[in-house]
Amino acid sequence: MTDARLPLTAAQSGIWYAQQLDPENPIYNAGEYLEIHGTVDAGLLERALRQVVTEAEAIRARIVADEDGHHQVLEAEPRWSLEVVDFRTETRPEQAAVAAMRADLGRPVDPSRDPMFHFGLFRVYEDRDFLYYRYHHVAVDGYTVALIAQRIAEVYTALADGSPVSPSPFEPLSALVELDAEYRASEKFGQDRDFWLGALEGSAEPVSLAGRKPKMAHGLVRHTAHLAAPTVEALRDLARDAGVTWPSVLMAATGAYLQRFTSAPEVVLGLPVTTRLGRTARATPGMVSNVVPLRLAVSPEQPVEDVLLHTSDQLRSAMRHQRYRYEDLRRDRKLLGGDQRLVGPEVNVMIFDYDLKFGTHRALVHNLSIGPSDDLSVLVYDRGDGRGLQIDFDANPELYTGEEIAAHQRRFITFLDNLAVAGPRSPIGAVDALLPGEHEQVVTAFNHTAAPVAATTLTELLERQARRSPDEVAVVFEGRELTYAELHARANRLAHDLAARGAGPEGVVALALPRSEHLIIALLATLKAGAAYLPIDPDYPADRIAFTLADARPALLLSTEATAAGLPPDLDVELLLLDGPDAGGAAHPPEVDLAPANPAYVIYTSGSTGRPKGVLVPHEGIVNRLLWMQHQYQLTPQDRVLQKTPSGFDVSVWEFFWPLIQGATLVVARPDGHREPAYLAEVIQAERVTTLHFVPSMLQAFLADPAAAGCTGLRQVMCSGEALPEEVVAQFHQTLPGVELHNLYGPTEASVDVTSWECTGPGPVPIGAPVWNTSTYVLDASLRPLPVGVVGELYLAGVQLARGYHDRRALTAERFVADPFGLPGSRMYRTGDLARWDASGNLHYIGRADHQVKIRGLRIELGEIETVLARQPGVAAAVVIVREDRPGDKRLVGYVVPDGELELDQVRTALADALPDYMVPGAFVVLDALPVSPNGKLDRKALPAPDVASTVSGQGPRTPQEEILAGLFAEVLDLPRVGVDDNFFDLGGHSLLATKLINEIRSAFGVTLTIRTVFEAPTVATLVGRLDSDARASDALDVLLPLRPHGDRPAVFCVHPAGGLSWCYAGLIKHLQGEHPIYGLQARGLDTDEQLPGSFADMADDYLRLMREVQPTGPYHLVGYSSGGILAHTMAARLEAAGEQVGLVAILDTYPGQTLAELGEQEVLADLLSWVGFERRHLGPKPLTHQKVTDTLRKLGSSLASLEQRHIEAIGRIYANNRNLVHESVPAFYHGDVVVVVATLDKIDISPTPETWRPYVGGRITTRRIDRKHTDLMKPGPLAQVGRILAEELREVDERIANRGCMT
Amino acid sequence: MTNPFENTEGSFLVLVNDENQHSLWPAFVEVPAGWRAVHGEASRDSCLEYVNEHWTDMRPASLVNS
Repeated sequence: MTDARLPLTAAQSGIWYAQQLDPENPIYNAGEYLEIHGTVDAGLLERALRQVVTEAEAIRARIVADEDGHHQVLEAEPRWSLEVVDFRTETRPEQAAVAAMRADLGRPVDPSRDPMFHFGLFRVYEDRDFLYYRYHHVAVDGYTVALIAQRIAEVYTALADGSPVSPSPFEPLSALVELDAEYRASEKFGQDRDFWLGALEGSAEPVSLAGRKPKMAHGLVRHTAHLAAPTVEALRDLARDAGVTWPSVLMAATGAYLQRFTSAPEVVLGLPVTTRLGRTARATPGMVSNVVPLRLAVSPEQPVEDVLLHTSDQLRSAMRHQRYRYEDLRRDRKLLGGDQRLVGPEVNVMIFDYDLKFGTHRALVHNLSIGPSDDLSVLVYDRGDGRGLQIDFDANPELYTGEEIAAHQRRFITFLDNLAVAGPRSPIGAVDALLPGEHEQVVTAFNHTAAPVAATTLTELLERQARRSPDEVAVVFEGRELTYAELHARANRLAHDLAARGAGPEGVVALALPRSEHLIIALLATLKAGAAYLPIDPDYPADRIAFTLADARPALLLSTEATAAGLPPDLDVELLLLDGPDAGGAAHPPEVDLAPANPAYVIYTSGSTGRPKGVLVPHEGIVNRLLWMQHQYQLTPQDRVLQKTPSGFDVSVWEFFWPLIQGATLVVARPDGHREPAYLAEVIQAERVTTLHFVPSMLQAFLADPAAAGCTGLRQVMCSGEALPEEVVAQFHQTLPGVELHNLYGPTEASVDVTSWECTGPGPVPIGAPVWNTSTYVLDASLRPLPVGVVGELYLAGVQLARGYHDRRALTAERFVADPFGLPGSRMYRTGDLARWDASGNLHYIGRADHQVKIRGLRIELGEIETVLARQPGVAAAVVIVREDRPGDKRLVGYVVPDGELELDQVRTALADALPDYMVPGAFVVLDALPVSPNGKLDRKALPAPDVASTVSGQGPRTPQEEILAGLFAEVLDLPRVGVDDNFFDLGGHSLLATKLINEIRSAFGVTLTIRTVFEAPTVATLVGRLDSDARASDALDVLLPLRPHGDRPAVFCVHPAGGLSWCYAGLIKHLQGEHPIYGLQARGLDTDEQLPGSFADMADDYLRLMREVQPTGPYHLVGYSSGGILAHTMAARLEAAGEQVGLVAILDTYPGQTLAELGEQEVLADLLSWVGFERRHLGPKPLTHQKVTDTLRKLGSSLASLEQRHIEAIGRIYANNRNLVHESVPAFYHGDVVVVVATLDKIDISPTPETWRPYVGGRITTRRIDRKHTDLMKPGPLAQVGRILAEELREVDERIANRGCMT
Repeated sequence: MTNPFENTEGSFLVLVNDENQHSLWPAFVEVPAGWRAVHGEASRDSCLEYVNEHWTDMRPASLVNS
């Protein structure tokens, strides 16, 4: 007999392909065992099995791959044996047998080599045998497994009875393969495709209970449960009454359960199908099963009956098109390649209406593994064997723990129990799925927050404290201090004035004040007058300020003269200047009838429709929040709290008032200081701050600053505003050991914060548990509480809720809604945040349910930006999204479809005029059309990332400073190169990266810039001018070249080599401490036609004169490379002779008596290349041209590219002159020490050594070695080494000078 | 994720409590204690329009009456 050869069915190809991708994965082993209630005859069983193996061709297949593709070869006589094992002597024979089966199933099978099947007879008791069989899924499907089991039983029974065995009921495998091929060539195939594409149009991505993306499973978590018989009966009745089939009920229930716990508007279940539509198909063992989508739109308000009918309809049409393959549909839907899925959890209802008998013994089927479950499979076995309904949950262990799956299974059973008794007309969302105790746990136990808080106002708390500690320091700002008595006296006087001008309870007073003591006085005065304060950021665009004032209608606007000058003109509000003449009101507080329910402040937040909305917060809310905070964190009069959050953000509320109601000191950071880590570290240390707040991204930037670790006086740091990454927590504890870190969460609408968590150990950081008198609910789409671990929308209730949005009634009624769980008539606030509970009653923040976003803690409604963008001329359509193309680097990107002419620069300016800085997208992308998904909705995922590289311009640096600054830009932006006219923000910069840039600039140039400077001068070319007022004016070819003109210590002067340029020293600034200014000395005549000097002495005197202009007295540090070394030595000797102090004299590989080679233009050009580390030979053997060298230098981003032909000629002249001077001159004598840096690689026995200097040096000659050639010393790598050597030697010289100073 | 308050096709009520605070409410969910329906079942827009017209003083009633 020869082996037959057949193509694979489409289903087989799918499995084969998946197994090839992951050959060691045993997940395609399908296994079951039959529990036979009696003892079988092993010999007869083996005969029966051998007959069935002969009959069922599919299991004799081996997959072969050759040049013709994949095939299956049917082995005529495969070699195999029945494994017979006796477990009867084991203590737990059943478990031992099952364990052996599982071990067998866990071994990977190679379908090209190993048999597709294995049989085992496991004897467990005297009257009980297990028949185990395992197949590879590439050969059989679930239907086939059952088909073969029935035939085995049938043949065995015949053999046992001694009656004739019926002829094989099976058709040859070729029949199944042909049916498969016929279908794929048929018209029906195309019709099915059309059906599915239509049926899935506009469907959302399938959801999962895991809330994570499923991936390939390598194992299985299985939990088995049984549904009680009365429930089964009631559900069958429900099906019958609704006129649907029994499986429809189970599928509808699965869909509804999934919808409940994902809050998705629709679910797409996976429906395993046999695809065996005809008699032949049903009579042929093989692998043709399929999974088709079962798309169910379940909304919580739908009556049970409607859900059943809808499911039944969807099921029927799916079954009619079940042969169209899953893999084909994924390809059609363009889901291949990505990790996008076609279906969510699978639900498989298996109805067996047969009874297996081995002779006279009954046999029950136990499934062990039915193939992979990449997410979750609900397997329902309706075996009609009297055991009721078995429900298995098979889950991917990478997505679910056993406990999670067990809990879901218990809830699913509960849900079915409740569904069975719910009426057909009750909303499906009203059918409960929580386990006993779960409702009580999440609604009551986790919200056990009642605490007594007196009915009072913030004003009263502030005044009470002032009476308690009148003489203590209340406020510190820029070195000025106010005691409690002084602060309140000034606030009281102003309060009388405010009241006289109409401010009072339920009224509003606007404050346009930068951080200062005026701001604090104005806040207190407003509260004392009984009005609510409205912070106005004077830096906001005029439109926004005008809108806010028109919307809030304040009685007054308080400002200072300087700030008011920058406010938009024609504001329709009375302006009161705080730095004007004192109104001279009484020093006692005004009499005001203020209630806890009156508003304390109004804070405007971004609004989705393009209009900001004012949140009105009553005194009772903020009083609860502040008193809870005191209870929790215990501020003492010795504590000092830093106020750095802009007053327009509600974190500032506790910063302002918590210290002032506890007798502590409020340290007010200077305006803009909150963005600068170095300033913050400085003020924390100088003002002994113990408590402050950070948005996590700013905390990260702060911790990255070396000064952060010095803030050891800190006691506690509060974080809020965005998710706190665990890495930041770890970094915090490492940098500031012993300092407490707290994570807080809350919207402005609920008085700043409503939950808190102390960050101690590692692991994900929860937002914590609710604060005093506050409830937090995680609810599903029908407002029912969700259990621990399940993500839902977060609602807040309790005393801290705001009154609502100022004058926005409908919006208030939408967001502040009736609370079904609190006191009668109470409200809850719908946050739009997604969260879940953990088992210990702490909440975890998951994300947003809508398009509100947060960037660096600032709350942004994208709709607001889109509205402004879309109304710009030339913009037809606009979308704004947040991208995170680099992890942790969130930025706003605007997409615009132009309508005619569109100037992006104008659009950007217009946006900056209408929106706060942080809401202006950093990058814009122009599109022909917005990408849409098949259902016509905007496809946000298809929006392209902005092409940063294309915005890099070609303009290279023109001076050494520009070159270094461009290098810092590139480093901070993580780009290979940055042109000098490129905008920092266009290239992906944002305020946090700007902070980083500022730090880098400080260490390289010794200059501290503000963020504002970077906003004003965002290019290398413009920012270089801000490094120093002189730097821009200075010419890069001047004799004295300020490489780094700043620093407190004596400067380092670098003397040019023979060519006359000292740009080569620019690279040193990154390696020498920022305290030392660095100057280059360059030859005269580089850019002018001056007479060249006639001696080194003349040259030295000329340079020394210039040096004294920038540094009148010593010590002077001198460094010189090549002939610059000779010159540096000469200068040291002349300084000494003049009675000046000389510091470091560093001679870089230069020796007296050397001769210099002659240098033509070719060599000058080659030298320029060499300085930037470029090998001249790369440009080929042809003579170099100025153009070619310039182009090369420009490509390398070198400022040397800006040298013109005449400069090259000048360098040639200067070199020749210096060469003559070197040959003619005899060095003078210098009595001090020198350091000689030796480039060792080109030195031979007869080369000069540092000792060659001995006749001209009286002090110590220190030798430092670098293993490079002389000509390589100024290349970037060796120059870094030179820099490190100089830094060390400078430290030593500094110490020596300091000690000498002590002794004299 | 769908929120029952955001369903533009849905059927809603307007609820009012003793403080004269107004709340939009999905009609299919049981009305919480202490609230009474004053408008609907009606469309979302109709309910919001009702709120805009009838909730003229957003201060809590207990504060207005004190």
